[in-house]
Amino acid sequence: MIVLKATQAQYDALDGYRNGDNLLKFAKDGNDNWIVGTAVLDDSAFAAIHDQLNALERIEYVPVLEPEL
Amino acid sequence: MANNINWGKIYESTAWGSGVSDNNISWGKSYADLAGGGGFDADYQAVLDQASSLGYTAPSASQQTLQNTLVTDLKTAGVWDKLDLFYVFATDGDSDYATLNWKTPTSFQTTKVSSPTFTSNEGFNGDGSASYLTTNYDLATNGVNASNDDFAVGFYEQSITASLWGCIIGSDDGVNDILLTTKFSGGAPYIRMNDSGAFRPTITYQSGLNLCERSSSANINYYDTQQNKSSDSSAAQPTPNSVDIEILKFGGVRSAADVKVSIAFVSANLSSEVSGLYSAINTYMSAL
Repeated sequence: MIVLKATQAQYDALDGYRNGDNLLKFAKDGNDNWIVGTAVLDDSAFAAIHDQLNALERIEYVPVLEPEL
Repeated sequence: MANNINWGKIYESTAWGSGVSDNNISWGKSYADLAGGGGFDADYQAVLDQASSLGYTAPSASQQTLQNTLVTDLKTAGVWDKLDLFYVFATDGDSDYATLNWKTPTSFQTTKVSSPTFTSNEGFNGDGSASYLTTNYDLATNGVNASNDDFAVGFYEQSITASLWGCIIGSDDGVNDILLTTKFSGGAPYIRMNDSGAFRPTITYQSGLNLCERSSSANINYYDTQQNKSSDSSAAQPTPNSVDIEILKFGGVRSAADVKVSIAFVSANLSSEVSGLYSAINTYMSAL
């Protein structure tokens, strides 16, 4: 699965962007990268930041090791 | 919101002149619109009113009737007055309409975080990495009917295949959790209800309506899709502090992409209302 990886500067600029009932939040992958799914690129709620989202690096998703519950 | 009586339809299709054979007064159409847009239960009408005020696309007239029936069925069953949150994601309204909290439409609307996938009449999926819904509801501070020793969480889920986690609803402050999963490691749900221990009922998870409640400070009940009850004596700990209840995600755990949530809710315990709850929700879902 391809996801979008943000640098710390990109994360700082984009994380928390809100449009109505839509919110952009990055998550950590298994390599401790800030990532978000590619669906945000097709979401009209994020149209105002699509250029910035398109600039994020495409990487293969590394699953998070599930914690012990 | 004004009743959606289609007077224009009557006039434009009425032939008043003599010798006209097509006196096609569409009374049937008008009555259908009356049923779909007016005369609803006041609490369901409030949902439609909030959708209208926010510019959201409401469901079709026929589905509005189904949804109104869902509300009245929940009231008849005694469930409605015990709810804090009630979300119906399975709708032919738009994805924004699907985020409204029917119990109090002006509060605790879910936020769509990082673009969960919406499918009309089915609900929301996670993406397996970062997308989920958050309720903006913290049980510790926002609970009205639900409280530390008396609450329930539930969901109607469909489409699961082989998810390891399938976290559907929960909140986590790093110490005590509220957590109800779908199948965990391929088997039973994993449950925490204001505690730090695990309750694993001896069932294999099935898609459909699943309910878990803390009925007292010392008891948890889980009901599977067939309303079979499993109980666990687990002492309640303090409610997760300053953490909103999330859907399709739990704390730092990623959501599963093969889990689609159609309905989710938080309430006081529903020990005496289980049968009516299942009947109301299953009737609605079967009609879609």
